[in-house]
Amino acid sequence: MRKVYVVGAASTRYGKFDSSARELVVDACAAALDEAGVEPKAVGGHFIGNAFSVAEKQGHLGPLVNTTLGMPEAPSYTIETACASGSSAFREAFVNVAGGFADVMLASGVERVSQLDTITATSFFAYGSDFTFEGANGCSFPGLYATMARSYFQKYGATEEDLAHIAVKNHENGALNPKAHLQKRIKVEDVLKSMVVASPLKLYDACPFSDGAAALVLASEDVAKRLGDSRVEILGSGRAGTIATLQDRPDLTMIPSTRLAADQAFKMAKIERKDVDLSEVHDCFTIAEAVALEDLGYVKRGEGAKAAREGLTARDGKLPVNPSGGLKSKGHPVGATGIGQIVEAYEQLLGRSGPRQVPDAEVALTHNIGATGGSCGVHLLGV
Amino acid sequence: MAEAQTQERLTLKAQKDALRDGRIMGLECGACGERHFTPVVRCSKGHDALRVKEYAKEGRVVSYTIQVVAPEAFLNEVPFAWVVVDLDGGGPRVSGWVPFIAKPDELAIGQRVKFTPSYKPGMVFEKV
Repeated sequence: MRKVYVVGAASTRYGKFDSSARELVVDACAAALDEAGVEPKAVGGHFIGNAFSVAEKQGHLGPLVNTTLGMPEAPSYTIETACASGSSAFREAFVNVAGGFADVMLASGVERVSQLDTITATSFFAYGSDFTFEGANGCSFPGLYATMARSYFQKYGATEEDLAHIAVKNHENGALNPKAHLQKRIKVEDVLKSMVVASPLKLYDACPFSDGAAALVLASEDVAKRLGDSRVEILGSGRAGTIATLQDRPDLTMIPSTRLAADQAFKMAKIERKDVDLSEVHDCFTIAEAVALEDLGYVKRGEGAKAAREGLTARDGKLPVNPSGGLKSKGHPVGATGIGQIVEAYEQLLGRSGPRQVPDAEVALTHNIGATGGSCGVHLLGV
Repeated sequence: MAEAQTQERLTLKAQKDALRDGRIMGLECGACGERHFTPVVRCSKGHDALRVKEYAKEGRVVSYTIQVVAPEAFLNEVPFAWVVVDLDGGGPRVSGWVPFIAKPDELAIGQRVKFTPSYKPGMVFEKV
């Protein structure tokens, strides 16, 4: 297996835009290629993470995007693993370079959902779960995580206030991120007083529906060295699944695919949990970050919910989590999210993150979940 | 040659039709006893000896949420409780909804509930 590097990274701002998905992703790809100093003709293939382009009455995004970028001959693939589509696209681009099938690959992600009304958008998100047994049985997508949260509270005695601290911490970081969807600080009381979405989760426990795109250029060692110093090595890549339907799982307080994917990534990277300087973790809801910290093996079972409250996961804490603001504050453009996490890792590792920089970061982890964990991608990057 | 199959299949349509008649049908592994409601063709241990089985209609709430924003078919039903239920006699675990529950304290983990056939979408449960 060859060494693979990220040599260029870019993202649009996350938010609500009039541009279509194809325009958003072209902007991100063009900026990433430009930053890498790679000509489009040199790209050996393009994986695009996207879940809902049919909501814009468009499938088969790849050829449209590649043609616009001036690389119509490059093969393209749209990858859909719900909210994990971005990390899945990245994984496949990595595999192509590592396996010697290409020297340069493009991995991108995009979503545009702001044209949908709330009810339609809610249904689209629910399609990512087992809709026959969950959505068509009355459960919204937030409802699934809410059901996990209530189970978690029962088992470990955690509280809504514990989770509120996760939202506050991520907004604290997102307020410093010019690309973030919700660039504002919030207080614990704001979270607790916000509208209930699916008890015990409230509006401020949930990430927003965002539009946005992000892109990464991956290259082999030879190409990366020719391109200069703006490179970050992909140290480890893990992908796993778990039982698709929440009700079929014996324990509702964990997402086993996270542990499996993380173990693969750490094994490949030959490093330990303690070697990680910052983590971008899939916090579609506050409870998801709490559970992820445990599933990733950072803290013991039952300790994830209080990590933010105790300052452990603050930007200047011992275990910085979501310095970008996370899905919660930076936003969640579904197919772009996993790519955007790696854009953040790239910028942090190169010391380009301005006021939200984690000092002297050398190793970063990204963790991206599809639905309630039916898909999970974990990557480790380093300089 | 493969051994003679004792495997049985359960289509989503047959399962839904049974629910309309008030019966909860699922699959049980003839080799290890593992029970499933969402249909599978192998149990989690890889056995292919699944048999169609009718399960109990009553059980206990494992966890729940109150839905105020729900998928389209449920727009006129909110608020209600969405529940995960362990059916009596050793499972399986199913989910459904309890109408007219507006607040979390109107339900509790451990509450006994009963499946009630309905013309409404999904599996309706009521408190016992």
